[in-house]
Amino acid sequence: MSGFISWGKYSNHKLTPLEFYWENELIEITKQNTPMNVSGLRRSYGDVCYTTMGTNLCTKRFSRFIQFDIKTGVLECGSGVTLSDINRVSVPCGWFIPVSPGTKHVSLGGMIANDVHGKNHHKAGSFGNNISELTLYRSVDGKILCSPTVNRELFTNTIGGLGLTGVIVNATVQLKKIASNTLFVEDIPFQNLTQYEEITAESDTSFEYTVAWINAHSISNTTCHGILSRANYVDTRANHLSKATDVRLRVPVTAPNFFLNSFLMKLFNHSYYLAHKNKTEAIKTIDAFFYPLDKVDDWNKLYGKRGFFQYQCVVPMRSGIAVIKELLLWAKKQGQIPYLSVLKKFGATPAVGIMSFPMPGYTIALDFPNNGKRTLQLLNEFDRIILQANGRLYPAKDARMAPSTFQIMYPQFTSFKQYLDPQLTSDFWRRVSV
Amino acid sequence: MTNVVVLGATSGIAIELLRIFASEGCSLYIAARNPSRLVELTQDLLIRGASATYSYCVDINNISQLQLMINTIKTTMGHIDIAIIAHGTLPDQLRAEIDMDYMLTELNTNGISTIAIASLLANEMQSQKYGSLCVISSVAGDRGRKSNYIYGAAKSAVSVYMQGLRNRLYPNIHVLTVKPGFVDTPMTRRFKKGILWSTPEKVARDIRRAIDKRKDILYTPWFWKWIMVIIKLLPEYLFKRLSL
Ligand SMILES: Cc1cc2nc3c(=O)[nH]c(=O)nc-3n(C[C@H](O)[C@H](O)[C@H](O)COP(=O)(O)OP(=O)(O)OC[C@H]3O[C@@H](n4cnc5c(N)ncnc54)[C@H](O)[C@@H]3O)c2cc1C
Ligand SMILES: NC(=O)c1ccc[n+]([C@@H]2O[C@H](COP(=O)([O-])OP(=O)(O)OC[C@H]3O[C@@H](n4cnc5c(N)ncnc54)[C@H](OP(=O)(O)O)[C@@H]3O)[C@@H](O)[C@H]2O)c1
Repeated sequence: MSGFISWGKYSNHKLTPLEFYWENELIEITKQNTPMNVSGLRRSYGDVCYTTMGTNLCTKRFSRFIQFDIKTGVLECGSGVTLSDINRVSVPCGWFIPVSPGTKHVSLGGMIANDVHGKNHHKAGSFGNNISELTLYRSVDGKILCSPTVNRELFTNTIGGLGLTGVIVNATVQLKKIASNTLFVEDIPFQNLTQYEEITAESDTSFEYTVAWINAHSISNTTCHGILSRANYVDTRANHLSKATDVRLRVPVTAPNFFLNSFLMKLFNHSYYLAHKNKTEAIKTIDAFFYPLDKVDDWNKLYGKRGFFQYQCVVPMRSGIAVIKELLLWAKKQGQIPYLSVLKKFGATPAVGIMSFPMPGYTIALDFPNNGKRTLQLLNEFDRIILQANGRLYPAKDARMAPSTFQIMYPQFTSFKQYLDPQLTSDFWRRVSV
Repeated sequence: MTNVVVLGATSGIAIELLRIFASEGCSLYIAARNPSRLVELTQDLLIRGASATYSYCVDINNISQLQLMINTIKTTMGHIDIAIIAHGTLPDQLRAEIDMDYMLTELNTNGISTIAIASLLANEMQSQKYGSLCVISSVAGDRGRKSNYIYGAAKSAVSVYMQGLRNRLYPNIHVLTVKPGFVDTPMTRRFKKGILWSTPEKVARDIRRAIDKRKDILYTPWFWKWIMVIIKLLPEYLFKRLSL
């Protein structure tokens, strides 16, 4: 019943998700023979999580835990179980999701279908690396168990498979042992991207979690202000595991279009940098470190009626930093400075998913308000730069790339097609697969 | 430890309420018709923190079986702190106007069986001398309208019954009548949703709080109280002309 079709809110299309509670309801619905999309919490920014033609199935109510072994950290649940619920159950027992995106309002199915990555990619790979098995429901051949050893191809095409290979019914995740529910966090400022490269390289060996925030206003040939955050779980039993509590704020109505404007964001970016000008250390809770944005419900409404785009790409290690600099310089030259910029180095662990986004290299996520044609032109130019550098875009964040761009970035596309469930689709898929 | 019994446990509203009780570490006894759904739900509730879960498979219209169920619950749990009656169906009004067997079944499910199981639970609590009994009625029971007055009549019977029961069991036993407005659950799947609609999570949170506060009647969400004040104030000569 939520009022948005996906997180970017760039479209005013209204659709009514069809929720199911039980497996037999799912089977009934798939018998209808209409094109279908299956979504979780629609936290993807673009159009992978809906279809404007056909039925929009939603797993939100298919959210039951099946098994949780406190000794081994093996967790099995329905695909609609949210990360928020998983944390609530597992953290007090000393277990944490092995890979976490920047919000806990995502479903297990969504995390698998986009093979999400987190601040620990350099240590743990992406989410799919931690899935030991899953059951799919396919309109063509019913219920199928898949794992790295059983139906292996279907398994590896489902991880990062954008919800197109079948409905993920249940999945089993190996959680990660944690010694406490707090993290020791260091924030280290840098003045340019060379410094960033050095600090990241050093941090990635001794810190489990690293991510950098960039002040895109400061970009020039020689400067780029930013802050690298790095963290490890506090390694002591003294901090007893307590249930994390949430403080909530809410953006009640969609803001007027001018609410978040470039002036305000410049002010924010500069002052944020100034506030962290010196290296700082802090102990943070899981919620404060992993999900700072979740403190404000529906923050996407701040971008106003026209919504926004997030542009996230990954560029191979060698040219990565230079290419990212090129993007930022180009955006500044065009007078379209991203409101938020986040930079992370992916590690070498290969993804299990055939269509997964992560690969070794640097990834940057840039938020742009939707200013229509101007924004789209800028992002098309970005695509050209990324293609040339052999990089690729993250489908979870995309709402606009051209089919040819997608098919060059994901040459696996051709072999992937043989694993599709003919009933499943998305606006994304109809757009990029032509 | 708090012992909670929930009938109609597989309903959208009941599931959310059960999850709240599970996170509080309560011991849960759940009853509904579908055995495999009961098994799935007990497993989920245990992992979500319930200290124990038990289930009982029952069609609440089999009134002769209800005492046996209560006895079993009693033997297993010892005592009952909170009991919630949440089963129900939304009848097809037009069919209920012509098919009398159907109408009777619907009146039974939504009215008679609810009253029967509430009576047995009330007696149990009366002998314990404590407990909270919570029954989900509906705003539809506050005034009959042509689009669903069979359902409304059954819920109205439940609401009036609960008033009497509250009066009878005062002051030891807390008797709560819940009157939800429109809630997005399987019961209302085929309806188009608008701004008056609420979620089972919200309704469940309201119910949990009302049990704590020992409220008598809960309209949920709160604005339904005022909507129903107005609807009840409309004179019948006007109301009968409306298409509601
Ligand atoms: C604030 C914020 C921060 C984020 N941070 C990160 C981050 O750090 N790293 C990252 O990788 N991502 C990040 N994301 C993106 C987000 O993690 C992904 O888009 C995720 O997939 C969303 O999960 P969801 O449950 O909302 O899925 P949806 O958006 O509803 O669906 C995502 C995809 O999964 C498919 N799908 C969903 N359920 C099933 C199922 N049961 N069976 C088959 N297919 C299914 C859908 O068809 C769709 O293709 C972030 C998003 C937000 C809003
Ligand atoms: N949804 C609303 O808008 C709304 C508004 C006002 C009041 N209410 C009331 O709130 C309560 C819960 O509603 P809901 O919307 O959550 O309903 P729901 O999801 O449709 O669930 C109804 C439940 O009742 C059970 N049930 C039906 N007949 C039964 C019988 N003879 N014996 C045992 N169980 C039976 C069903 O079990 P099975 O799985 O076995 O079918 C199901 O679990 C109901 O009393 C309803 O009238 C709902």
